[in-house]
Amino acid sequence: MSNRKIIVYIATSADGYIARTDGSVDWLERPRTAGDYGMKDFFKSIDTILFGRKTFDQSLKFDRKSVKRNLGKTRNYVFTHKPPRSKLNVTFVNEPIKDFANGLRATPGKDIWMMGGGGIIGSFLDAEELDEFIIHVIPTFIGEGIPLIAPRHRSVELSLLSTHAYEDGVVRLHYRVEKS
Amino acid sequence: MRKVTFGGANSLDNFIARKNHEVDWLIWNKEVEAISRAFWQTIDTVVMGRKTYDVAAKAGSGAYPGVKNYVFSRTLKKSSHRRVQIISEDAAEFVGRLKQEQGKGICVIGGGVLARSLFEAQLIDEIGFNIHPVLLGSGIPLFYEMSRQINLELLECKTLNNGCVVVRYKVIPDIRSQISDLKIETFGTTPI
Repeated sequence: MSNRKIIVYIATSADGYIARTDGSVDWLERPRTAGDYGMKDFFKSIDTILFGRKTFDQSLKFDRKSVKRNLGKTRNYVFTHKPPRSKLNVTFVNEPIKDFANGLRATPGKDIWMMGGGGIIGSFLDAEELDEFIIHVIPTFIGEGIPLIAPRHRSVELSLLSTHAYEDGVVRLHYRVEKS
Repeated sequence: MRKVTFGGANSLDNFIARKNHEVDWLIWNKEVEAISRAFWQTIDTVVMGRKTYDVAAKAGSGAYPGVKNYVFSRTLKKSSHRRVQIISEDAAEFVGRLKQEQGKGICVIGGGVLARSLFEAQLIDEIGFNIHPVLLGSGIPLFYEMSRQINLELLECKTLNNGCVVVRYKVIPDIRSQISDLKIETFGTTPI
């Protein structure tokens, strides 16, 4: 088994949402005075991206051109119960998470970016197939929206690996998920 | 004007207690104690909702020591402690008036129900969390859904050696809604 990690790398509002109820992320568009929050370095450390179906559709709608371009640089998996036909460089997955993750981890490669949304993050977390969270907390309350992790009773211990406060008020929290 | 602060200890997924109100996941150490003690010196009043008070009253007197305690409830008649005063009027109006009085800071304690109405009335000035390294998935939420966006300014981000992260934010006042409130006040009775 290789030691590839599955990492949630994401931005949330300070009240814990990854998007508004309708999926929009207009509140993420802020002046980039603090650089790219380590995005370039993170992207170099991964070669695979995992999406939930809604997040994948939403990101295509949001910025089709750059998503299409980026899909060419990584292996991409989209979780869905109804795999559609697509010309994009993605594989649709309708397989138990544990089996899929075992397969992925058995294949040599770089780390794996769990893009979200909250549903797929919750499912991977509850299947004990998430290794780390890197969360960029945006200094704003959006009031209502889609939570980072689909709410479901659980009790998961984390270990804080690092924090960083950017000058524009964004806080990066980096945790390792402790396996029970 | 007295400063109103909302906050407390939360899980990374923004719960302040498990469903059964248990807070067995809280990590307490000397560092937290020092931060907490320094904060309590800046306030002389706590306000809480009835549900928070019920939990606090079950665990003890329900009164935080050394400060005035106000509990908002339309059904409770009498408090269990001489330092606890039950307030049946609108929480936002009451806290709005408290802010104008002389005194130290005011702390909003507990879950998000009371905090939401105070946020919506723009009465909260600062927010402070002690983010614990745990995911609970369900329980008593720190926030209740609000219809409006609130922009914040990061004041502090402090990593504790127990894996907790203390973050403090200042609420950036929403100038636009203040102006529209003003208009209503000034021209409210004048048909345009």
